Parts: sequence; structure tokens; C-alpha cells
Amino acid sequence: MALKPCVRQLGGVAQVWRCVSRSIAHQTYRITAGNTCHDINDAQKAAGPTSARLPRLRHTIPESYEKVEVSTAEWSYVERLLPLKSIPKPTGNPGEVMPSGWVVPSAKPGDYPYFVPRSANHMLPVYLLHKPILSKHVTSVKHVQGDIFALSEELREHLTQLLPSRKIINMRVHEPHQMIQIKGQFVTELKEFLLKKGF
Amino acid sequence: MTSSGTEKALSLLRRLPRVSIGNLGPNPGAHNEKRRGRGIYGGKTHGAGSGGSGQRQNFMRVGYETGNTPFYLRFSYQTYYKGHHLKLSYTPLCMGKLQMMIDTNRLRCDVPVDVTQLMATGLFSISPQQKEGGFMLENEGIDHFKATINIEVQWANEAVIASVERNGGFITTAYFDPLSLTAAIKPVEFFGRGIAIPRRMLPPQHLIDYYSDPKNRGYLADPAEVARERFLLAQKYGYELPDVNASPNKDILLERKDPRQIFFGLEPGWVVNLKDKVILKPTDPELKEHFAS
Repeated sequence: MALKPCVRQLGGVAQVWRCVSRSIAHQTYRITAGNTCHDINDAQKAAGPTSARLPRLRHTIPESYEKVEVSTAEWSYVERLLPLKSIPKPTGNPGEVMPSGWVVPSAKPGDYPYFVPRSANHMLPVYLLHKPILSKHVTSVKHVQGDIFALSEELREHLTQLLPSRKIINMRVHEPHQMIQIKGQFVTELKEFLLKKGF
Repeated sequence: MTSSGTEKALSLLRRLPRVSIGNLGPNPGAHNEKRRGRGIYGGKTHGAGSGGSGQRQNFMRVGYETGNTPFYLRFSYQTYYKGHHLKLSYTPLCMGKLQMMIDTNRLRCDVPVDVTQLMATGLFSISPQQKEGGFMLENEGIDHFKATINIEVQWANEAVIASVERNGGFITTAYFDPLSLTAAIKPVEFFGRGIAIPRRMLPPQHLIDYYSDPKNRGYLADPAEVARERFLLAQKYGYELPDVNASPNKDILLERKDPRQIFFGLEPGWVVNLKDKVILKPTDPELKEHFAS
């Protein structure tokens, strides 16, 4: 179905008019403001049933198309479609594990020397940085508030326990950026560690 | 007395046309016709870049074969992707992600879930202009799917359908043509254009079978057959089909769109005025007949 772009917008009151499409069987109607319209019906009658060419066009709006019925009965259906202006807050008891595996945070600032809040999407701020082609993976924990060095020592201890074969754990603590970077892929391990703490 | 050489030259001068740019040329060997190398890694560098950069991790563009015509340029077309420009692609949505969106209140379940609601979460992007058809549900996480929802997507397989219905929900697969999809994914933008809600078009020939099949819970299938398939699937996967009438969300679960409808509760032909918060409906019988067809 080919639609000719013949829309003109004026906010507020709308008028109904028809667009001409290539296939006469698939006419569509667009409600917009404007004074030009291709009146296909009258032209069709003039052209006759056997005419293969597009009929001559007239620029009028049928009077009956302008009449509209104003209603607010179905406005609730329109409100349904409007997206929310901000990310909704999740509900649930602190520490509750949801069916998807998402855990409601239970820790509060003050429980530990550090605090790791959730991201804007309520997820744990543990990310994997990877440069394509090169085998360089860096796990990054962001938004770390408070004593970031204490957390970095705990993470080092935790990872040393998990991976006894690894002798060196390369870590970078960036205090002004509230970030700890660890060379390697440890996203799952760090997320588990933070969830156990209640973050 | 002039020499023969001078005579020849003078006679030549008399005959030759006026000297101009058009009949002047350089002496052989005056211009260096050496071809200049192009690109940081190509050109005359024998595939190694300049200054030993091939020895370090300065990678050439993907597919470059150090000068010879690369594989991806040797063949102008391949038969295996014939007709790819006619096929739609769908945004994958795993059941696990769907469950997480419901758990974190990101996706509202007090209304039937369709393309519009999924796009309203802000977590996805669909471009109908790039031949994207909507959402397809994937198997990942069907074992942990616990929500009771009324969902409408563009593609779903048997396992996904079973996981939704096992929890007392309903799933429908529905087709949206590009113009309807543009309206459905960004309704606010669409209403701002001041156009009547269009009729949703029927699927193309290669998709009409999929959407007419009750096994796929197609929106064009006979509801009686769909109900029968629900019962058969429950038997196949070994769960008992929960009773809808007993559910507190009965109205939401049983809400369905007409095949020509884009939005729930809003019919084709209506104009939504967001500024004045009213709906304008056509009264002309010809228009009404068209939009109702």
C-alpha cells in the first residue's frame, strides 16, 4: 500500500481528509488540517468504470468528513499507552529473592565501611570491559562509596580463596571515580559477593 | 641561405595549428607515474602498515588480506541469503529478562502486555524502517518464569507458549505492518502527528500461515482451536491448565485486540488529541465503513 505523504499539522482542531494511494482499493484516510484534498469518488464517476487512468483531481474536502464526535469515554485506554516519566521503584522485602534471581537490596550505609548502591536500573554496578580482538578483560565495580580500599582488600581475599592457582590479582583502585578494576573476568563472582553482603 | 633543417622547421610551423594547452604534452619521463599507496594499512605497505606497525597490535580492517581481493569482496552475492531484504528480524526477549522486568516493576502487569508496553519500559529499541517486526520470545529462563500475564508478541515457540500458559497466562502472536508498528512503539509521537489511527494490515503471504495457526497462538486463528491447542499443550508438557475464571485478573487476561486494531480500546479512524485530552471520532458513514472494514 503506497501512501502519499500529504500531512500538514496544526495543533488542536483537526479536519478529516483523504489521501490518494496508488491502488484505489486501499484508500486511507488521514485526519489533519489542510485545505487540499483529492476527491476520488466524484472523479471516479466522471471517469467511468472502464477508465484505467487516474481520474482528474479536484481540491475539495467533503463537508461530511469535517464533522467529528468528541469523546473522553475511552481516555483511560490512552493513558495506558503513555510511558512513565521515571524508572519505577521495585517493591519487596529487603533480601527477598525474586523468581528471576533479582535480589532486593538489604544493606544500608553504615553496615560496612563502604557502601555500593544499585545503578539507576536497580542492578548491581559490576561491569565487564572488553576490547574487541585483544584478550583484555577488565571487571569493574563502580559507585563504591566510603572506604573503597577496605572493599578492594576484601575482594582480593575473596578472589584468592576462589582461585588458589592464581598468584597475582591485578587490581586498580580509583578513589575519585569510586571504582575498582580487576584484570580478568569476575563478574559472576563479584556479583555473588556483593549480594551476600546485601548490596 | 637557410639550411634544410631550418626550412623544414619553418614549413612545419606554417602548417601546424596554434599552440594551445590541447596540443601540448610533457616530455617522456617528465612525470612520475608511480601510484601512491592509500590507507594506513593498505597501499604500498605490503600489508604491514608503516614503520613496523604490523609487528605491534595495530590491526588492519576486518577482512583485509594484505592486498589481494578479500574473500568478502570476491563474491558479489550468495544464494544462501536470497530474499533477505524481504524478511523481518525480531528483537529477542528472553523469558528471564521478562521475569526480571516484572519483578522490578519495570513492566506493568495491570494491563495486557504488548509491543507498546514493552517499548514503554525504555529498555528496547525497534526500528520498523530497518525491517524489524517487533519482539520474539526466547527460551532462556522459561524454568523460572512465574508471572501470570496476558502477552502479545510477534514470534514465540512452543516451549515459551507452554511456560506462559502453565502459570495461567495467555500468549498471542500478532503481526504489525511497518506503519502500524511505528505507531505502536511510540504512541505519544504518533498521536502528536494528528493522524487518524490506521487499520493494521494483514501479514504478507509468507507469514499469514504462521499467524493463522492455533499452535502458534496466532491472532488470526480460530479462538476455539486455540483453546483446544492450549489443552493439548498442557497434556504434552504435563501441567494442569489453571482456570481463568478463578483468577483475580480475569478481565486483563481475556482482553484481546481485533486484527485491525493497533491499541487496546482505540479503534482505527480515531484521532487522539493529547493536548485537550479528547478523542475525535469520524461521523461520516463512508469513513466509518472504511475504518471498520
